[in-house]
Amino acid sequence: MKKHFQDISFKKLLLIISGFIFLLSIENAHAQFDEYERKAAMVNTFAKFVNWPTKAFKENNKLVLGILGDDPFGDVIDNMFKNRYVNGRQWEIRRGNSIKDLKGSHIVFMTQGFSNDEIKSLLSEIYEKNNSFVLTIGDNIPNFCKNGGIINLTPNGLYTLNIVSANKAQLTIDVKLLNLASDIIPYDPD
Amino acid sequence: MADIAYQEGNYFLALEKYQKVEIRDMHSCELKYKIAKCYLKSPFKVKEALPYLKYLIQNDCDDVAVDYLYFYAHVLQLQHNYIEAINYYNEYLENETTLKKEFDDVELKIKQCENGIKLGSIQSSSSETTAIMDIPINTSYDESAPIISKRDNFIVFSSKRQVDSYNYVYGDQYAFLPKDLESADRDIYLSYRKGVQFSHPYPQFDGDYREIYPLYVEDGSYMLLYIEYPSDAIDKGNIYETKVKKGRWQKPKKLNSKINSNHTEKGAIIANNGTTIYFSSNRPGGQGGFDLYKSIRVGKDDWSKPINLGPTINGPNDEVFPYVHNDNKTLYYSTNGILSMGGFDIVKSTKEGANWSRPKNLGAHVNSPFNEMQFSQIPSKRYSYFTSDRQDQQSVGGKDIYAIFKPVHKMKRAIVTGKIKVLKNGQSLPITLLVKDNSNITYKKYVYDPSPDVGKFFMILPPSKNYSIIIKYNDSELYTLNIDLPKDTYRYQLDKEFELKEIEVFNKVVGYDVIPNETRFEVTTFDELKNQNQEEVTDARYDALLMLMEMIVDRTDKDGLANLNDLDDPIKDISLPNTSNTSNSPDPYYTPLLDLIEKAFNEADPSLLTSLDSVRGDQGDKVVKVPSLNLKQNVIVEERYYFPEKEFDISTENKLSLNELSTFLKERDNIVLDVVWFSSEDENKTLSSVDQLNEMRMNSILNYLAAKGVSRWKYHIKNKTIKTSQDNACILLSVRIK
Repeated sequence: MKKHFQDISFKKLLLIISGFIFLLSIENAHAQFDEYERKAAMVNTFAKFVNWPTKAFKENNKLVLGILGDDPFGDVIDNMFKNRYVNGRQWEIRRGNSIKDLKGSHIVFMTQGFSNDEIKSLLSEIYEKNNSFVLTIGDNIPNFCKNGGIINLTPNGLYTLNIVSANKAQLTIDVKLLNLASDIIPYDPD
Repeated sequence: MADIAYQEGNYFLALEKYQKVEIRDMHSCELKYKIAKCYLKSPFKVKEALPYLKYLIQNDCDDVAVDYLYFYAHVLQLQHNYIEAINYYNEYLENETTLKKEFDDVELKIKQCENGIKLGSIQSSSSETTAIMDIPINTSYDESAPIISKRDNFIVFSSKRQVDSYNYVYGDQYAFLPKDLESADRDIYLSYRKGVQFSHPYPQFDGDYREIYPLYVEDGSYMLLYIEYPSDAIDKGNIYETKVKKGRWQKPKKLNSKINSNHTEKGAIIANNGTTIYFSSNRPGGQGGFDLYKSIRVGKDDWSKPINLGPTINGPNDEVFPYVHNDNKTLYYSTNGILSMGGFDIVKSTKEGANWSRPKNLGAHVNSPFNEMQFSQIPSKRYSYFTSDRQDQQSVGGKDIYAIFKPVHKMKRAIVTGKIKVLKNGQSLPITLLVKDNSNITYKKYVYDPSPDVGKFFMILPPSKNYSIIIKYNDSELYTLNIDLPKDTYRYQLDKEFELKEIEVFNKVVGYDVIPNETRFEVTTFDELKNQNQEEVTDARYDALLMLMEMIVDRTDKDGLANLNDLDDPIKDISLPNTSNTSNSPDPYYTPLLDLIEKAFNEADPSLLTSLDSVRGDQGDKVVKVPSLNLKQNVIVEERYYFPEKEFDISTENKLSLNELSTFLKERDNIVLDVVWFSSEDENKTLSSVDQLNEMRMNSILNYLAAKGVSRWKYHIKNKTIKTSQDNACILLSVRIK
């Protein structure tokens, strides 16, 4: 009944481990920062180069970002924007499925998944008032700028920009934003 | 007859008889008292004494000893009902009776109840969990003294199970084991680890013992053990040692009288590479009761005169079963003194210089108001084991063996691996890596340079950070790769190859052209694995990773090995991002990304935006100077061109040199030329005739370079004051890296 002691040899252990590593190697190509980390960073930079009228801000002076639709950022945008300031203003992030949910937002990020008609109606709901002061950003939404949205992110990492819509929303766009836009739409959809 | 059975220690029979009589005499205080006292001896059902003791209290029984108040408080304490227990201990103290009170440790008991309240209210900061070990390690018989091997591959322990029986569990129907199930067998058992379980244990000794349990085991070939032979006085066994020979334990040999006194020894361990023995003894001259002692090995089989560990460790009560961790800095032992919450509790003290720190109770997740003792632990501290006679829903019966598991904090470390190669003329160069994070902290531990042949490198870094990997060759910093490890990364694969070409000017190597090829990288995070339902794979992979780390460290980095455990300890790990950080600083991980995007806008450079999915800082060819050159920073070539007196024409020899320099300059965009001419110091800022000549000499050189096709933007003109004689009649040309 007695059992003597034995050791697993080093070679045997190495073999087991290399087997483990081989079996468990999972190939998944990735970008350095993922798509929505890059897009969140772009939103932060857009905010730096857009000037809102002073009356657009309430007492707490926060810059409010509203995410409309199914949030593709997860906790990335919260982690990235936490304790960061844009022109002295702290971020506040809201999420919602209607414009009403996002009332008071300075930027509305419109996610994918809305139909063309929905986009049109949402944009007109945002801009129907004269003093909306809202920078609308589309997440690669077809005809977003043509339908009156201000910035639409494109798959190549750049964006298109509708300067007339920005003017209507009383937002001043820094020339640096115009420089890097892949396309600038100079007309009013109306 | 029941009384006789009780006095003989046959509580099973005594209880049976008392209960039979109780049916006829339901209101006898004396009977209730005796039944309660039987239950107090039960290894399974002490709490059954409560209703009998409560009856005595409610009926103010004065024909039995007032000790029932003490017993009632004691059972309440065992049930963790500390506040009620304190009340009844106080009532026992205050009770005026002519009968002698048997117990004089009431104040200690009250203090222990207070400890119980305090320790119970403290949330354990660690995520350690304690669980009873499964059958067949535990049975309804007593199992005790679990000693785990250093590599966690086997455990030895003592059991009083019947050697030839497999019927270990009898349910909870008994207060005492009936006569036919009693076991007279005693042995030390050994069980090998099988994954998370242990295999069937086998007895190791085959003798007649009243008591036998292991104390210390080394490599499976040496054991210290306690043996009480039937010929010994009761509770007066001795400490023995034994070795394995031909797969069997030799006959145990008693340690000499320095260790085994005429009194009792409880527990011993050999520490400090076999040079020191720690043990517990109730020999005279200590602090009271059992005390811990240490003794140094002298020669082959002798020990120095034992030294008492002193009043910080030893108190007026008992200190038993010392266990010294592999680090020789952590001492665990059991005490029934003022640190306990009842019975023996396991406490811990750490070495601070030459002294042991004030011991601390291991907490309510380990200790209970019952007895916890005989602690042992593997070097990584992930698993610890101890004995307890607690009676709760988990316990199997009598003394049981419990395991404390300290989980590995996963997702704290990412493996960064792959290949980095620098080739010169097709030959791979020996390179080293310098790794810094964005707080400029250099990482040396667990950073292993590329192997000279295939360039395979390996490093373990905390994720959620940005790193610069500086590639060095012969003290030259050849290239810097910036990588960002997203949170939850468990692997970052990076492959990069460079070609190194020597830059030769004026027949000497002045620098290197470093030409990178495309960077290949892959990030794999835990989230992706979860999406693929591969959580188990993740666990396994992490276990494999830890083992791999252990091997790599073992082979190359002794210091790293010694500190490997700290990787699992968030408190010791200063390099980890502090998740509880409530400061107002933003997450630095995203700062490089935001800076890069802002730079794209400020410099109107769309390529920075469109290449965000590549490795940052991967900016093409680079020129690196040879470090041995005795030149100012970034300067790779410096040449002085001298002119004959009063002349500004370039000599043929200098023209040849300038031809070579022009060719070199035209080939490269990443270098610039400083053309320095010297003038004498003049407060009026007027040029002397000599200065004018020097300026003309400079113009000759510039014209010559222009004629050779060197563009104007390639050079900068500088004027300096003549400092030494070598500056006379000279134009200095200095080539530097941009």
